[in-house]
Amino acid sequence: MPARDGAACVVLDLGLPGFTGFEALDRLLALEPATAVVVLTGWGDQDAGIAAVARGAQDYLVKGEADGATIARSIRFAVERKRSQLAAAALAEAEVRQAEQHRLERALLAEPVLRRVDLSLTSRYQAARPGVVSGDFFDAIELDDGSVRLVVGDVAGHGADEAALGVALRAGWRSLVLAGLDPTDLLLALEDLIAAERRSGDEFATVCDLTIAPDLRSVCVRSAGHPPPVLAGRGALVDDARRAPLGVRLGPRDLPGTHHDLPADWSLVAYTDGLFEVRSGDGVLAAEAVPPAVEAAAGRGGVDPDALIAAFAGLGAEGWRDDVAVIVISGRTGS
Amino acid sequence: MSADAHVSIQIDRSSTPMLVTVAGEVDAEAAPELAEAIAGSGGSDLAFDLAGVTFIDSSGLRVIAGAAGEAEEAGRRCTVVAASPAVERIFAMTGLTSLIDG
Repeated sequence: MPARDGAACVVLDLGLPGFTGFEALDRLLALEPATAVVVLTGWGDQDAGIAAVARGAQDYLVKGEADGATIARSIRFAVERKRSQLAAAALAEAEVRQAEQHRLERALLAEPVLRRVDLSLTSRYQAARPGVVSGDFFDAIELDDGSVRLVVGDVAGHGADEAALGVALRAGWRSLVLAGLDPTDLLLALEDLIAAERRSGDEFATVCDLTIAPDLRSVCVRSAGHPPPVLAGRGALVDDARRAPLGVRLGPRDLPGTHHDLPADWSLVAYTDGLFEVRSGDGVLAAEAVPPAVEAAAGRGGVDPDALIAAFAGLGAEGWRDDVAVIVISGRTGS
Repeated sequence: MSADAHVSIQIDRSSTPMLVTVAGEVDAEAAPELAEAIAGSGGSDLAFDLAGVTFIDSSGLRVIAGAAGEAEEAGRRCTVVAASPAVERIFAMTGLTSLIDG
C-alpha cells in the first residue's frame, strides 16, 4: 500500500518550518491514508510523540536519541503496523456492510409460515453481486378463510434507496392485505406508496400479486409489469390487463386480475426478472425461457428452486445481471 | 466500469422531437449515462430510437419509463419510434407497449 510516489513510509519532522502543532501530520494523514508515518520530535519531547501516535502516526522517534538501527526498525515496525491497521479497518467495514445487507434482505424477503398441510412454499434468493442489495421483495400470507395471498416484486435499479423502497412495499402490501383491502385496489394503493416514498422521481417497481382460492383450485393473477408466474405443466399465467409497472403512471387505474384454474396437484413459480436477465453466450434470455426451465426443474415433489436457479446460472456467460428471487408454492388437492 | 463502452447514446437536439438513438446494452452501468444524456432535454418532446439495443434491463427501463411518465405529467410527448426485438419483448411483458409508436 505505497503512497502515490511509491513511499510506504514517511518520516515527518514535527518541527517543520511553516507548520504549527500537528498541522503537517494531519495534512499528510488526510492526503495519504495508506502511508505509514513516523514522526520526529524535538529533544526530550516524548509527549508530542505520543500525541502524534494518538492522532494516527504509527511510531515516533526523538531527535538525537535514535541511531541508524533504531530508525530502520521503527520504519519497518510502522509499515507493518499500518498494514495491519488497514486490513483490520477493511475487515470491520466488510463485516458491517455484510450485517447491513443481511438485515435488509431479511426485511425484503419474508419467511412466511403456512398452516395448511396441503400447501408447501419454498423460496430462494441470490444476490447479483456480494454486498449490493437490490429491491427484490417477497411475502405470503395465509388468511383465515384458507385463501393464500402472495406477492413478489422488484424495484428497478440497485442500491440502498431501492432496497428501502422494496421494504416499504412489502410491509405496505402485508398491512393492506391484513387490513382487508379489496385486492383490486391493493396494487394501486402501493403505487401511491411509491409516489410518497421514492427518493428520485423515476423509481418504479414491478409487482405480481397472487390470490389462491381456499379450495386451491384457482389463482387470480394481478400484475403490474411483472413477468408472469409459471405453472408447471401449463406455462405462464398471464394477467391480461398487462399493466405498466407501479410508479410509471401509465395505464388503467384498476386491476381486476385474471383468473386461472389450477389442476389437482400443482406447482407454481413466481420470480423476479433477474432470473431471465442472465445472458447466454449468443444473446439474451427472455421470459420465454422460463417455462421450459420450470418444466425441467419440475419433479414429483413440485418444482425444485435450486435446480431452476442452477439451470439459469449455467447459461450465464457473465454471471448474474440482477438479483434473483424464486418462490415455489405447491398445492395438493388430488386424492 | 464503463471503460468497455458497451452502450452508445447519440442525441440529435436539432430535430423535433429530440431524437435519442441508443445502441448496445442498456444495463445498470449504462442507465445513469442515458439518464444524464436526456436530463438536458430542456422540456422538449422526446423520441427514442432503440433499434440497436441488444439488451435492456430494469435499470434501463426505469430511465425510459421515467422519462415517459414525466412527459405525460407535463403534457409533452415521449415515444419509442423504433425498437429491437429484445426491447419489444421486455416492453410487452412490462406493459409498456403503449410507449412504442407505430
